[in-house]
Amino acid sequence: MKAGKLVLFFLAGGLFGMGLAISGMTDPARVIGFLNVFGAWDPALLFVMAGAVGVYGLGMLILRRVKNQNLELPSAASSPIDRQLVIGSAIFGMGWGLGGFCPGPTLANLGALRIEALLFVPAMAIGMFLAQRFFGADR
Amino acid sequence: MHRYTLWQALIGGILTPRAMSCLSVGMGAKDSIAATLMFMVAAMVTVFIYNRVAL
Repeated sequence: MKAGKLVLFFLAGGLFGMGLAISGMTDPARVIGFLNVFGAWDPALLFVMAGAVGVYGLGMLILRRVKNQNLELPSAASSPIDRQLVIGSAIFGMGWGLGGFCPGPTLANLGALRIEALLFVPAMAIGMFLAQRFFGADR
Repeated sequence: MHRYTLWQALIGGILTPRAMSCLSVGMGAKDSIAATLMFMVAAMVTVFIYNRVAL
């Protein structure tokens, strides 16, 4: 892999982490506040997600029009909405609701040596490992 | 079938497009939209039940 590409990965990771931290989305309490729709609802995550998805979608649209053969863009093709996707998403949602963490913010919190993340990340790795070993989940 | 190590499982699970479905919604992929809706609803129901049980 070219050095320039590695630098880009590093910069992208830094931007991602900075965005999470500035928007407060590394704080599990803010995430739980968003999910608490029947209580004291905090809509902040909705705006963060809308902003991120909007920028990403616009960026992909522009890059697709550029048609540069050196670009390796992710495919927009949809895989089937099967039982594995539905059950996996539901289990993921339960874990997200209980912990207030999803993978990106968890890793950002790992860098901050937050105790919850230090416990959550190994547990997440074990869960993924067990799913792949015993349920054949390979993605 | 390929057997994953714990480390591969963690990195693979985090970095594959399905796991990052909330961002892939921006490309309009149907599976990403379905997964995002599903895990959001599941998380909201979980928080609702947790609040009922814990309070």
